[in-house]
Amino acid sequence: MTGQPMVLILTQLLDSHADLVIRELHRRHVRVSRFNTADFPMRSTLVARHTSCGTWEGELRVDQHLLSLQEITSIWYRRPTPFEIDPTLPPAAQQFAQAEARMAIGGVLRSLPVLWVNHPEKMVAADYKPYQLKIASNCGLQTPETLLTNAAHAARQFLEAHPAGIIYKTLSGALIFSESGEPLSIYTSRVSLQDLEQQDSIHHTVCLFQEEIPKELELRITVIGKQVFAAAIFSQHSPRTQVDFRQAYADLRYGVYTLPQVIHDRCLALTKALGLSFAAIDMVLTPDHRYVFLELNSSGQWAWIEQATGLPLCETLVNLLTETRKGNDEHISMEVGA
Amino acid sequence: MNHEAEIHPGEPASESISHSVVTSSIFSPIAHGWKPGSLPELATPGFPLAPPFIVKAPTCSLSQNTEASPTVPFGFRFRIRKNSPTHPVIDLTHGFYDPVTQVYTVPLRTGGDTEGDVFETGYWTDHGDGKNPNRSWDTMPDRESD
Repeated sequence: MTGQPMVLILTQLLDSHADLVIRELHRRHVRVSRFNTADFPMRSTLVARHTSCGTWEGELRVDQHLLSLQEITSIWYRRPTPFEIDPTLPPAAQQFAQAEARMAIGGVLRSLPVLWVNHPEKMVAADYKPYQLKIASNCGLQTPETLLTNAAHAARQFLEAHPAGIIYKTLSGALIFSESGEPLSIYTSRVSLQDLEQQDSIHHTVCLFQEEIPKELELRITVIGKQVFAAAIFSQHSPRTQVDFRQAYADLRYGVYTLPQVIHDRCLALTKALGLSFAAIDMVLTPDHRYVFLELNSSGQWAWIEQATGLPLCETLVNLLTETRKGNDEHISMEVGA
Repeated sequence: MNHEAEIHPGEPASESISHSVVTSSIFSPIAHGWKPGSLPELATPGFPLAPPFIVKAPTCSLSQNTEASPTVPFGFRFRIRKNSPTHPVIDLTHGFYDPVTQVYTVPLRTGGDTEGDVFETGYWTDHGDGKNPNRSWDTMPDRESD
């Protein structure tokens, strides 16, 4: 081990965020390897050995690039996609090969004493919106009144209890694919009494309803390590972006925002409580100056925010990835006999 | 933002565009052989080009479906067909032509989905005399951005 940083990026073939980070790492002459996980196993090989010292050593070869496992100091878990198995194998064999690869590579990487941004297990937990709301509340952040239900009567009662209006938002992400394969988006939307009259459609699965929070402006808060960056997103001047600003990015205006110290600290606390090194937090500033937490994304996009505001997100992320300390606090490997 | 490449007349775009990628596969591949549609009509030199094709405006063909069938989950009533480019695209709406250097420059952009707006990833450049196209621009639908 040379002691110099060596960053591994787990991502997919087309990832411009990864490109930005790699350029900055190259500029700093920091070693970096990119592993597009879909390349395994058809275009890559793994040779890993568990040694008598209790460590995993070996190499991952992708085309002509060789990655030495023991030299990795940090892993950016960016947007890896499933391993691509030989499609000529029978489906059951593909499924088996996929599972074996996931356990092997996932297990070896998890055993390395490296800094994860973010650790995949932590990301899984953090992405549960009900859990986010609980932890955010524990950290002192205001959250909207929220109902989870597949009972139509409960949804109607919730609407009646919030005359200012309620919204529906998805729990699992806004992008779905139709039977024909075309991408469809389900944005956060206002809910009317008429919407709730389709009792059968509510019964199909759990729906997330929230009181609609009045907005002065919206905040995209990016937490990177111990640094907190806040961008103001002005969305209320356009009807298209009032409820969900993702519907019309072209209508948005941006600015750099200075959070009150207490909100700054609570965002840090929330990120730490979720075991994350990176988080993209969405909040609302109400007309009566309340800061209300909406949701958190453990792998949120940030490049567009940087380009719109000039916030040094890429530089800060690279700073984090190249810190010389090893391991997240809860992932430092134990020495034998310690 | 750094220029990604310069294309010399007669040279295939893909050879020049990928100069930062040829020596290493560490970067996302730029769409090789990508050519925009017919040469943009210039408004005036230095101003954005009038594009023959543009990054498609999102189409909201479904929008809110108040007639949602009870056989689909409640949230589907709010579904919208939204184009989500995942690969770098050439966005002629933000391009410009420098009459001094006779170079067209158009940005490569990506993103613009449910998780963030588009952002620039580099530039596509091409030499020209400002009057006649140097090459025939591919108008295949699959070359258009989503």
